[in-house]
Amino acid sequence: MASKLLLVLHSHIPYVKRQGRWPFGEVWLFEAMAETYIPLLRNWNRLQEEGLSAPVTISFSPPLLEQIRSQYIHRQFVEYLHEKERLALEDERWYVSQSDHEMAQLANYYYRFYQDIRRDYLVELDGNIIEAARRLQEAGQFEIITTAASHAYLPLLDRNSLKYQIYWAQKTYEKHFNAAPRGFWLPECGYFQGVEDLLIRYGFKYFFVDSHALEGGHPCSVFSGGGDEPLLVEAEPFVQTGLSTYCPYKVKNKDIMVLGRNAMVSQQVWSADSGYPGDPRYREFHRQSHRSGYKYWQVTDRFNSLDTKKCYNPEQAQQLTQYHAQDFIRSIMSTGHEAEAMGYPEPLIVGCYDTELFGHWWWEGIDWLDTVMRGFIAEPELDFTLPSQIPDELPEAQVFESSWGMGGKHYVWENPETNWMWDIIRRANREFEALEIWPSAPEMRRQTYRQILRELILLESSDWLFMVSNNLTRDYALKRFFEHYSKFTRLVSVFKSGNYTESFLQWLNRIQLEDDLLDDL
Amino acid sequence: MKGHIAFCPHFHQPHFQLYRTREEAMRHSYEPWLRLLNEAAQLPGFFVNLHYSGPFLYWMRSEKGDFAPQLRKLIAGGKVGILGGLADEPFIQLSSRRDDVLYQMQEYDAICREVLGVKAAEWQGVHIVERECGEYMLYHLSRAARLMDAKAIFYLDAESFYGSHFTYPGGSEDYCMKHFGFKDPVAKTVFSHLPEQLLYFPLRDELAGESFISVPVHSQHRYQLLKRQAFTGEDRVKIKPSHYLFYLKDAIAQAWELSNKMGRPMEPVVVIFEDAEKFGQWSKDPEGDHQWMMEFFRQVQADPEVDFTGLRDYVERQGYYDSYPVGSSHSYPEWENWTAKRGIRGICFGDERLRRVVARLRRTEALQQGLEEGVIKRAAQALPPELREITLRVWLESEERYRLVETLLKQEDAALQQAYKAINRVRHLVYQEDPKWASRHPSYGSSPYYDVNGLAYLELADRLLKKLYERSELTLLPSPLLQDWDMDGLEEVWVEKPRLTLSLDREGGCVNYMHVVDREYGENGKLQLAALEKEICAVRSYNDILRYSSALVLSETDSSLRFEAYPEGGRRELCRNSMRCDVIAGPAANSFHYVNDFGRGLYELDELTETDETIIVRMSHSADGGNFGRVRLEKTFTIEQDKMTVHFAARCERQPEGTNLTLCPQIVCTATPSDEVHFAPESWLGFPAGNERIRVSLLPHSGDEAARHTEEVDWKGRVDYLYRTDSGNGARFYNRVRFKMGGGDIINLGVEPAVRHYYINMVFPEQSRLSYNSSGMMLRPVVRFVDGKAEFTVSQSWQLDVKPEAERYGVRLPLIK
Repeated sequence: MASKLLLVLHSHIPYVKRQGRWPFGEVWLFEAMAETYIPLLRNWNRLQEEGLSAPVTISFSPPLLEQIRSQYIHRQFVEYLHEKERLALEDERWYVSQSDHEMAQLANYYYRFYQDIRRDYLVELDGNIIEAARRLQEAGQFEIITTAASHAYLPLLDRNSLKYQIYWAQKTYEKHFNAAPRGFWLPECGYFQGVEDLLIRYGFKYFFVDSHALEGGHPCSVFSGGGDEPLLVEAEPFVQTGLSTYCPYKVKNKDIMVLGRNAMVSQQVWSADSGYPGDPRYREFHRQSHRSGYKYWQVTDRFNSLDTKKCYNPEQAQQLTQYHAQDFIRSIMSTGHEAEAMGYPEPLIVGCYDTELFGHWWWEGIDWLDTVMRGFIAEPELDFTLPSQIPDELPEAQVFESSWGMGGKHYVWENPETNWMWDIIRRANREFEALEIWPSAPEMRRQTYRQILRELILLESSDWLFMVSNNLTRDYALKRFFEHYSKFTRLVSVFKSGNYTESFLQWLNRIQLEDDLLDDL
Repeated sequence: MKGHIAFCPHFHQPHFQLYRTREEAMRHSYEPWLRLLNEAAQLPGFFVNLHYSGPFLYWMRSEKGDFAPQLRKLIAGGKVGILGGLADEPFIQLSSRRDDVLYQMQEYDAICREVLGVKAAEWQGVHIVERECGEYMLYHLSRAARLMDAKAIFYLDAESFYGSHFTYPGGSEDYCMKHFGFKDPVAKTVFSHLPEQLLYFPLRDELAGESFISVPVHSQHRYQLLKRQAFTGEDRVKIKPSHYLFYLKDAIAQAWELSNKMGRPMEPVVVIFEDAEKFGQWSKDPEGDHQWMMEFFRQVQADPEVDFTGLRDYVERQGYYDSYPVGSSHSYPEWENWTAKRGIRGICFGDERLRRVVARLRRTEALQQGLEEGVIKRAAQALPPELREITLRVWLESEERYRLVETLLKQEDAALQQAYKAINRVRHLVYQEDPKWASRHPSYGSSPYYDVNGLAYLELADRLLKKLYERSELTLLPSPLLQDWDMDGLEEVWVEKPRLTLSLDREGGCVNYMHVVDREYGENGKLQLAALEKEICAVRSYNDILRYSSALVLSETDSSLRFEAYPEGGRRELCRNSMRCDVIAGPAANSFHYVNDFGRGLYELDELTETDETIIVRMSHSADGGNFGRVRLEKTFTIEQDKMTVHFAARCERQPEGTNLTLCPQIVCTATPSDEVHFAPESWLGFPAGNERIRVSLLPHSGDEAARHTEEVDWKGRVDYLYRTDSGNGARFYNRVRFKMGGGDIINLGVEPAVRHYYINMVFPEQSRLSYNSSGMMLRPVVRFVDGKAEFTVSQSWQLDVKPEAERYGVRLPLIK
């Protein structure tokens, strides 16, 4: 019998449109589009053209969807690609003039990379990533799911905000894909008892949790993000349940499926110490050329300083992905055999990753993933599956409150560094709930109300909390958090007073353009 | 913004190409091309610039009579332009004669008019063979084009243009940094440059006042065209027509932007140059390629920002951007030494086999020039005395020397003119590029076979030339026996006889060139001329020249015979050659070792005597043999018109008890079987039955040493090598080379391909093993030393076009299964 891989890729970029370009802001989105989403779609399209099938479950967060479908982002992205190509050519000329032909070749490698991305984006995808994903969904290669409206960390939200986050996630999905979403990605796998009721209410059929949420025991120490310095937290062991992620379940007494992330397959890719991306021959993420921002070096030694990095060798790294892909396939097979021995004849192996890990964080990850997919297709012992292919009749499970963050619960998003932010979020939520609006209210008032909700939803984004906790681009996160809150405050104040001055209306117009998430509100 | 696409596919099949290969290309590529072009011609905006090589057109004329009318129809439809070129697709820059360039272009014009109905003045440009050029070629081609009323418009690889060069303090051109370690703050570029993005426009240049237009070809647009399939297992790159158009438009957009920035906006042009055989023949999927190409054509048709153009039409409409200097081509830097650089200097750089081809041409060129000087001098006698010398020099330096000589000879004797034309034609034909290029590109290991055919004609031409001296009452200076004929810095023994041309090299003490001619053809000028006229002047596609003229030693380099400085290629390669001889000690502890380097060492010339019929050459090499003391090997060559005998005599100072020492001559014949129709070549060794026995160990065609076949054979000291030729013209014949051996204690007779490893470990394994099919065979008798001495004699004779008489042999060992 074959092991079944249920691969879940979770795609999300905070809402950065018109919120700064570089080094923080839109460049995050452009990098993810160029380095991850477009190469990923290219690979899946190529598989399809070759008559191969490697179905995958993929989430697109509402902020991501809203950004990549915008004409503004489309134009800016093409400009960004041109700029990247220009910088690469300039680098190439520079290195040639320095007789550094190895680096010159690397610069040319980047030039070709970005030119091909522009080609694929404009020619293959017709500038429309969402439509390309939708076509793959139609073809049965993608099962697209959604997540919270601004990727808020749900277990700590007030009920009303929870409702907005899930409702607008569903609406945004329907707008972009002309269909109702079936699956919901709980941001950061953040689960608490009761969230499933809301999911059921809005028509969702399944969601994902981390392994310890089902199995109990010690939570996996890996968590999503990119920080090098893990936070210290005492991890409470969960009660062993005897359940397993090799099997899908229904939440106890509820008509919704829960799927548990397999810790082993996650560890192999995520782990900073033992995961593939840390291999010395892969491209180093952190060192950049001061001239162009290009990354010309390999990891070399993770513990040494950046200036000791060796020159990157794409060909060597490409070969390494083949090796690591084969290793991954072998380990999945071995996991499958163990599961069979444990009494799961067709074990389900749920591998969950941030999509941006592949290509953006781990430059060679896209090639690795492609080789893994092809290896799976060629291997009779292995098969793919999608949540929609899982039969309805399932055993039931009690699910623990949990997340995939450090310690297995909420610490990464709620800690002494972020407690004050939660106070503000909750206060803002209470303030919003106190506001009253009628359908017959003047358009100006309704516009203001909608913008208040947008600012609240943006304020709730888990991204700001995460960046502050991990001290990653903390200043940018705080700036964004304060900006959304101050906008919220002014909007509420005018909404309450009814003092719609000319300067307010001009300002409202501006922030409607800046923070134009969920324009169907 | 508007950009233009000059699509320039290049159709080529070399002279002496194999019948089956041509027919396959016809099926897979050329016929599908016609279908494609007929369909594409329905698109209103379609235009293509076609280049048909001279050899291709000759083939069309002689074998494919219905192809040309279809092309003519397309050309008449106004959607097809023709690019001119050279008649034999030659690396004519290797020639010693400046008039050869014009000759080539005029001959091309003649065949192009005849087959396609297009004259030089109508050409859309001029194709340069492999785009390989230095300033010499560009100058002479431009001049030839001007003389023929053609436009000197060339497409050249982008690498041929001088690149922009920038200097920065601390950079590689900062000599203070380089020599003293500090930055020179003024080491900055001060010259203005035209940027390389301008390489999407026609660019003017001139050499010695000869003006020409060059339009760059970018390799990426070649490689991306029809990139439908993977090159290797890991290659997942596929370029769709829409991708391809994207890249073209991207290049156009960048060039357009820059030309605006430069203040002289001009609509850019992308030249797509590629071998036509990529369509259908390389992929073996003409239908898939057809769909790809038509989709691309339709997308261009539908795109208002691009269109197809004739190359010359475009230049005449748009003009040129500016002067931009062209240097030497560098598209294939590893082999441009042999091509862009001129003549024997480049050849001597490293390719032994190619050196001999060009050296052979040089001898014929020298003979031809001697004849021409005589003819011109006679004509100059009619001039006032003070003008004679100067006129002679001027005429000899003329770009049209051959026409002058042809005309003068015609006035003297029409038959002489005919013979002269035939000789000139052969000489040109031997310069064709494929076997030169392939000589350094082992993927095409069979291509040097084209040179074998060319030289077979050249040997006849050489003999005919000598007859012309007699007929013109000119004095033919005797060729010295000792001369550096291949210009490698060492004198060789050079033997020219009507039925034999032979060179003995002191390095290795071996035969490095041996060509034999049938008795009648070797001496009868009428037969020689008839053969050349029939097959060469008419440029027939298929021939049976090897029936009466054949190289017996013209071997490839063999990887096991190289002096290596560093593995990347810093090495000197040697050809296998014939009559090399090793001294081998062993077995000791199951291993053998070479005693010094008798196979490659430099031999002293001890004797060189010539009588009426016989030349005797004795050479020897003495070297330290370790345990065996001083070892001396002497070889005595006795050379007659139809036979060569070599006596090997070796002795060592001492032979310690319990040691074995053997003498191992390498008796090589590089003549190979050929079956160009069915690709089922046949060659074998025949042992006439006798009352002696010999152990023969045969290395099979696969080259697998473990599969070596050993058997005891009855013989009488003689073995015949028979190889069959099946030609595209229906001829089938066997040639036989006979080896009589004796005079020593032969304990084993090894049989191997002459060249076992052409480029071992440097190319795909199957391509590095030339084997019997294409390298001929080597006999390696192993002769035991007795009392510190060993002797061995081999007598080699040959007969062309024989009945195989297989039944006369007691044992036949097939070399190819």
